[in-house]
Amino acid sequence: MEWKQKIFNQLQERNRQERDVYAEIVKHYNRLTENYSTILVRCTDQERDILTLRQENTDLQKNSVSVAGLPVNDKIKTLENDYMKAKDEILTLLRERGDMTKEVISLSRLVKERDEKLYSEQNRNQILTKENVSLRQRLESAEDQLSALKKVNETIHDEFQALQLAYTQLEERQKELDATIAVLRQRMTEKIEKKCNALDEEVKLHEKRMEEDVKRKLEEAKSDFMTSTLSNLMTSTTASITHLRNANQDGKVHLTPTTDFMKVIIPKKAIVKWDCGDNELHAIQFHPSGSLIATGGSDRKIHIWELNAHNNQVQQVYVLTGNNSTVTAIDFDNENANLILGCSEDFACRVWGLGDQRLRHTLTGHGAKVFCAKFVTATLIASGSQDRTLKLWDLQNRQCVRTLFAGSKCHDLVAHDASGSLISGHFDKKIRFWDARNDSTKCELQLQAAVTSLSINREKQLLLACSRDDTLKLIELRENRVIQTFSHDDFKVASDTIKAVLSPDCAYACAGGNDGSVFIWNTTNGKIEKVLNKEHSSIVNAVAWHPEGRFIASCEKQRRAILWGE
Amino acid sequence: MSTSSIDDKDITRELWQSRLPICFILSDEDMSKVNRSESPEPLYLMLSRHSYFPCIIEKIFRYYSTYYKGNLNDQTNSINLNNLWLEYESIPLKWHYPIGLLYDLYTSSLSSSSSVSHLPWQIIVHLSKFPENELIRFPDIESIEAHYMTTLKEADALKHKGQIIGDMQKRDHKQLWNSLLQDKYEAFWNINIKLMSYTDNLQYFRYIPFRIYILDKPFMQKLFSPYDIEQNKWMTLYDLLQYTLNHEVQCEKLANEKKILNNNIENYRVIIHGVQPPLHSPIQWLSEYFSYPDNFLHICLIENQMR
Repeated sequence: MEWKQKIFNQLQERNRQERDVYAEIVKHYNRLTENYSTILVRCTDQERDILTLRQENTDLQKNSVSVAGLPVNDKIKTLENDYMKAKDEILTLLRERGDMTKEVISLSRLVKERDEKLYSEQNRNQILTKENVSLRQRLESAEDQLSALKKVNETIHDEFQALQLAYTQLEERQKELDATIAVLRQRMTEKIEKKCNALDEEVKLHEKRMEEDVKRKLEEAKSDFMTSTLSNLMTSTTASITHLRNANQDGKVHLTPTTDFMKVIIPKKAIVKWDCGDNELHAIQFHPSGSLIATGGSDRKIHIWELNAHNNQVQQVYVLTGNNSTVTAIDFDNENANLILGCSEDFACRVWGLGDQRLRHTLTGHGAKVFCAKFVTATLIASGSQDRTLKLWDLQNRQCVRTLFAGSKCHDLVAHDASGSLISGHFDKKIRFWDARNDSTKCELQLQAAVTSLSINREKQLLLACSRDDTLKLIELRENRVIQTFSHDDFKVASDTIKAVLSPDCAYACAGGNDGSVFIWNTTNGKIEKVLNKEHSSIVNAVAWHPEGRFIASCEKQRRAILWGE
Repeated sequence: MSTSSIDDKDITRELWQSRLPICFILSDEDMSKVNRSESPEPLYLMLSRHSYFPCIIEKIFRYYSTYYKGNLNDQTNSINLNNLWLEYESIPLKWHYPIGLLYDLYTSSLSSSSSVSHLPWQIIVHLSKFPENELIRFPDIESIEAHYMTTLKEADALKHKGQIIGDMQKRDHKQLWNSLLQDKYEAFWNINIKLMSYTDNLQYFRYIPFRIYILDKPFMQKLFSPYDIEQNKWMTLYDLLQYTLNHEVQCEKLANEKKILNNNIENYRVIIHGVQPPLHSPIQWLSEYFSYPDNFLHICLIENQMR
């Protein structure tokens, strides 16, 4: 294909000759011609401009030449005169203007002052009107209050008068009643005297009869040698008196014995021994009338026994059930004497009615065994428990109304007064006195050992505390001070719940020991009065004194209860 | 063979990048009518060989008309676009010939000196005295575009019986002309390549579109097939020239012409696109890659000077 090559070479050669050599030159030449033509254009424009300027110049010269023809000096003078006049006028006008501005300033100042005055006056006016309005309002409200108060005053006055009348009436009535009371009292004393006299006469008659009988029997007995019947006869006399007394009661035990009939004696021997159930006895308590004994123990029941003083028999009247565990303490209420309270190791206290033997209330809330419970009033119960708290229960609401945190297991408690102040004895050797108003201890008394029981006398002055150091302490409550300590060589406190009691007249203190003996101390001199032993065979857990003072009841661990008397 | 590295595209690109430096000088009588103090300088332009003079006629007129500002409004004056004509060595230049063809034809044969260099090609611009009997007035671009399209269709008719040009859309025709005007090689050959394809299961064109120009004679155009079926060989440039000249001589003899054409190829220089291709080049290849943008092979035969 060398022809192609030849053609290509010729083409390249041709292009080189024709195009390459001349391309640049033609381009530059064209550019030069363009520049040249633009310069020409500008040149012509400038020439035109020059021409016009020259033309204008010549025109101006012509104009200036034409003006210069007039006489010059006069013109100048007149012009100067005019100029001076104008200047003077300007000066005067300026001066006037200055004066005017001064006036304007002063006037504006005046206006400002007046405005301010007016403004302040307006403000004051506003304030005063406001005050006026408020004062008027106050006046109105004061008048309203006054009228209201007047009305109230009138009504009160009327009420006062009415009350006054009523008061005078009541006063008169009271006077009348007092008179009648005095009259009635007198009659009553006369009647009682009569009764006593009658009784005395009867007794005398009876004694006479008896003497005759005795004489008869002596004669009969001369043949027998039954000297012991004498003593039996002696005791039966006293029993018949109590039978007469009990005959007043119609089966419902209402009356509590007054202190007139109380005659505290030191029992000398066991009168009745009986077994309660088949278990340990932990609590024994007399009914306030003295005719019923309640015992409780690990058989979870409270047995009520009737004491028949004539033949010195104790019979079980009924059994109260409901507890789920051992009964630890029993209390009767002192006011109406128809409720019995039992607390047990099932963390609850229960209240039964005595007439219908029905479980009235169950008081739960303690966290551990309840060791003690007492009636504060007929509707307020205090209980102390192993959970280190004391609780006050209201029977009307069936609720715990107060919880006292004692900090130590409460072994026993007594009610100090009807408002709910308590005294409690604890495991931590302290006796705590609680205030009725707040939940704190009013006072604390420290003993040498854990307190196992408390007993308070009826006048609330003396407190007997039994403690584990084998002593009893008598505490005087006015100054919270230990005044007597009772102990005996054989007296050992065996457990944390041994109960000690004061006699109803506080002459004696009684407690049971762990060997089965019952100890009686004299409170005035602190000496041991009597030791009743050989009857119980195990630890005496609790003792109770008959409200009239004639008997002591004690119960032991081995289910035996003994009534001690003359 | 090192010639295998020459791609046909290289050749067509070289052809497309042809430029001729042309100097337009105002004629003397028109120069005297210039009503400005300065006389116009000659206008130098680099024009493409395959372009046409009407494409730049606006430019030439605009350049020279600035020197006749005052006279243009005068109707009696003959300075206007219609009267513009170009001349080289007293020959008015025909509008519808490509510039390269005109250059090859006239400068090679009419040079007064024997030196080769005729560049820049100096053309004289006339703005008056239009030669009515020698030249057709050809003022606007749409006319030259129409002439171009006609030539293109004629070429396709010879090559493919007009099938391909007829199948092409109008916008492809427009693209050919516009890429010619704006000198866009890729755009032109995208369409032109379709016109160089074969139809009717032939491996060559039916007939080769060509014109042979000899000075002072109208051009010669014959039907010539690029492939001889009987002899089973490709026709060359030499064969085409020989056939055409012989055929022309025969026609002249039949017409009893006085002066018979010299049909000896040895006496001529064969110039296409300003170069002399080897006479044994295959004519099919020349038609495909060496044609002018109007798909014709415009061949100039320049008589060798008698020594």
